[in-house]
Amino acid sequence: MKAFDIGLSALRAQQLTLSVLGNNLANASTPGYHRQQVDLATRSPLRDDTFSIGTGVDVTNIRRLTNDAVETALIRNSSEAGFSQQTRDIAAQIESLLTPGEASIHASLSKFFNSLEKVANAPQDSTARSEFLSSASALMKGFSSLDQGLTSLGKDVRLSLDGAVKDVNQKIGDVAQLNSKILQARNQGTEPNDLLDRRDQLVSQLSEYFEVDSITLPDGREQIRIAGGAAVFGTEPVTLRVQDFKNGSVGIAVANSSTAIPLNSGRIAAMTTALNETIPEFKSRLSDLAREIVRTVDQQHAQGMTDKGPYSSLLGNRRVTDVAVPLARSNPNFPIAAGSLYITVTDATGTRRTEEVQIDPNTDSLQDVATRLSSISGVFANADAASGTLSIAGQGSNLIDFAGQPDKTGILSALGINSLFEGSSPGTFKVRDEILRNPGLLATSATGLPGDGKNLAAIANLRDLRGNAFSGRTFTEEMADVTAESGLLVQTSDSQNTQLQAFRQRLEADRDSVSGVDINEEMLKMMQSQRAYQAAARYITTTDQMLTELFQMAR
Amino acid sequence: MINRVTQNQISRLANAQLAKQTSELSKRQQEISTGLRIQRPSDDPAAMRRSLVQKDRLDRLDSHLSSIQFAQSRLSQSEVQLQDANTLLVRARGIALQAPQATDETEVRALANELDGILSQLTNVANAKDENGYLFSGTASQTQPFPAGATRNGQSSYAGSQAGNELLITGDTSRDTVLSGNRIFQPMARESTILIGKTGARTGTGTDTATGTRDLLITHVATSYAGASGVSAGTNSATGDTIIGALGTHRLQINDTSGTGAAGTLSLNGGPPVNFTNADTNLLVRGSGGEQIYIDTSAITAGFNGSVDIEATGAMSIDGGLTTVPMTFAANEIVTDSRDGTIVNVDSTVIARSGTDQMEFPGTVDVFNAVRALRDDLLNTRNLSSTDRNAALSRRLADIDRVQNHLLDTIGVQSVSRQQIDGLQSRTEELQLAGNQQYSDTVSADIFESVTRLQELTNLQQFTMSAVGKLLTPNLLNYIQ
Repeated sequence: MKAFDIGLSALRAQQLTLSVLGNNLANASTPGYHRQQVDLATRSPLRDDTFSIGTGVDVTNIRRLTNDAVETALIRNSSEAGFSQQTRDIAAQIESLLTPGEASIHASLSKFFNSLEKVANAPQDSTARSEFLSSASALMKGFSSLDQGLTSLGKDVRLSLDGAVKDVNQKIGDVAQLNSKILQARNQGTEPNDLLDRRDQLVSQLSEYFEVDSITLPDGREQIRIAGGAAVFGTEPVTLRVQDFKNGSVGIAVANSSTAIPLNSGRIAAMTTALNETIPEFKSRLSDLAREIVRTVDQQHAQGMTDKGPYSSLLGNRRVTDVAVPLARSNPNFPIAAGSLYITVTDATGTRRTEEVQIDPNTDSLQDVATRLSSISGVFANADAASGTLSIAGQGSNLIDFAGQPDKTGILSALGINSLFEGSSPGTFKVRDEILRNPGLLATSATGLPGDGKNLAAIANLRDLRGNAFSGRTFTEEMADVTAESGLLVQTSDSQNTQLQAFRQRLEADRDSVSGVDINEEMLKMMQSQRAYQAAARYITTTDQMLTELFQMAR
Repeated sequence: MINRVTQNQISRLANAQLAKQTSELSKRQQEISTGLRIQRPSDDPAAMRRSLVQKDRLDRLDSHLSSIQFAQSRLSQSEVQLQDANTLLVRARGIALQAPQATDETEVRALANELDGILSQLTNVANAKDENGYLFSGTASQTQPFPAGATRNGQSSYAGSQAGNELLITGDTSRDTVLSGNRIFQPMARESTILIGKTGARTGTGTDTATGTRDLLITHVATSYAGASGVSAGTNSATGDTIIGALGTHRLQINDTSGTGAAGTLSLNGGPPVNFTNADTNLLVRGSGGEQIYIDTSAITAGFNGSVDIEATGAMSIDGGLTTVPMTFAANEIVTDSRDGTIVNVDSTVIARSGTDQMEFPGTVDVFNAVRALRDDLLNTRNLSSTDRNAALSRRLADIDRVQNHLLDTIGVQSVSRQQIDGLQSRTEELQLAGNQQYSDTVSADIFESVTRLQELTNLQQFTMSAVGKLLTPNLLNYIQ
């Protein structure tokens, strides 16, 4: 009955082949599916006295067709693409905040200086003053809004990071479960192709978050390595968590460990980079710009007078932490340099005298400065310990101002004496409420006369200031630079994305050339298999007829 | 080359291509709609940086133009006002020329009235204002520069600032626009001081600082008599004597006709003899020139006949006697006006009598005072002699000429400022034009290119879809029966 066995083996083999082909066709567009192929082999022959005769066909294996090198490259590509895509998404949001427009910070900055010039030329024009104050407010609001926008972006990224880690932990759990099933199947002697596909698909998804690779150990166990082996798991999942470090940075660590996993690619690396570097850098540059504008403008504003002339008293609106310790150690809002402060006292007859006060921030406290100012005839100064602020007043009918000689120490803006703005950071900077309520308090002049706008002109000239603060760039150029920087970040990420996308397409083509299901090919194979099945059936029929003939002869 | 290509792959590739094309189509459509090549920084970071700086520069130029137009507007108003002032001075000059011939009281009065009108109009011009304050008060724009009636020593008081108005362009040097009122209406080109009077005072050698006109008040302080004549100052001498001079400037001739000092005659500076007795303690003696002394002859030396040198000290004042300077009969004595600190230099060596002299400071008379003084001299408020009046009128004409010339110079200066500012405007507009071009080059889309590319992309998209359709449609299934 050997002949029936041969036919039967062929029928079985073709039936199995047909099933595999059907499965291939069914999964032709399933993501992560690798086509499978039935490996057929001839059965061991039987020998009679003269010949060795075949005994049929066996299915030796159902094989996943994969190109491991390409698969590895695709996973690496996925990590890199994840990084650049996430970086791009974050950069695009920063770019949106900085995109110029009618009401953008760029327009506000320009308008601030333009309206300053207008008031300088027509200091008595109340509309021009209001316009200027409105533009100054808009500028500060612009910086505040940018700061808040970046802070919100940071919070959003942090939420995304938390969400990503949660998703990652879920996927790690699923992968571990699949690894376990794969091992079980292998122990039972079967190759779990579909499980491997599902596991690889999950690994591919994980690779979007960070660099990951999988290896099969000689004993058949599957091992997944994160970040080149910084974290490894197989059938037992690891749990990752977001770690806030003492230096303020954020990282990813394995639960029970306080060491950050060094991630170089993937979405999570992009998010931590954004949280630790990109967003703080933009915040810092914008903050520096806002602070420098406020510092220089306030410093010049303090050295002017209103159109009514000198002041009876001036109250600082920026504080130091301790009025009794040297200024350098009492955290003034802006740096104070050693040098001379000049205060001008105007007596009842209008006679003006300018007095010099030496200040050394390394040795002089705010209290010392107040004492020194008070030692000037006609001046009283007080360093208020509770508020940490300085107030200066003219005694009796004496009036005071700082228009006599330039203050090179920077103490006036540091303490907010006769400043245009108040506040200490981009989020809190604003035009002083008193000035908004009474635009007459604008220190327009250098002489105290209503038609003199020279102090405002001096402030307007700060527009061209090329100090050390921004490596010789003006405020406008620095703002343009920050904006271009955001665009460059998006452009670079876009460019990387395009490149990675092209590379991915190539790799996918390579992968599909091995693992992809070609419907026509499968149909052909199906026809081939069908014919083989028909032939086997015919062979069995023929064999049966031969045997029937034989039986009839014997009967 | 890959030999095995699956339907999935074809479809995925087509998807990717179509997405890319759609993305570019959207970009081109935006370019065509907005006319801008750069919508966001990532479109071209370097160009975006440039464009922001260029846009700021353009906005800034706009602001400069606005400042320039403001300055031009004020200069135009100033020009109109100054032309009006010039017209008024032309008429004042005409009156000054006419004045010496005007003898008829009615005619003089009519001319004086006209001068009053001119003065009033000139004051209005000098106090002209616009919505930003007074035109000619410098930076003290809210202070009336020449308050009505505020005069000091014959000069109108200027209440504005010394500093004039300026055009303040950010990053550029400031430019003078409207000059301060004192520079326009109160010119200073001091000439030699003129002293009119009978005291004998002459101008000193130093440079005066007083302006306009002043009264030099020469007052008598004390009289003393040299030698042993026995005469002394009478009881009214201090206030009544009008002689002033160093010892020997004045001389008293005594003739004791009684030989006992009981009676005789006295003669001052060769004047008519006056009888005296030894009972006279306050005898008035007049000299040949009308000068007078009060003398006490009660202790006259018996039998004294002869001449006695007299010394009469005095004091000078130019502030109406508020402060006085003792006379030392020197070639240059400084007399200060306590009211404004200005000084005059007086040669007191030949002052011989008390009285009030008139001092004029040519070249320091302001526009208003020139007209005012012309009116006063026309009306001869100082009661000058005909000759002195004519000389004074001639000087008034010179004053008018001088202030008018100065006004014309000022108009010229303002015109130059205007010209410079007009030039600045042209340059700013040129820069704006160039800046606009530059900005446009940076941000504007090449519409022709965008439209062409849009069409190209639309075609490409259609080809892609058609090709994919063709590639995916044939299937072995179609051939299996």
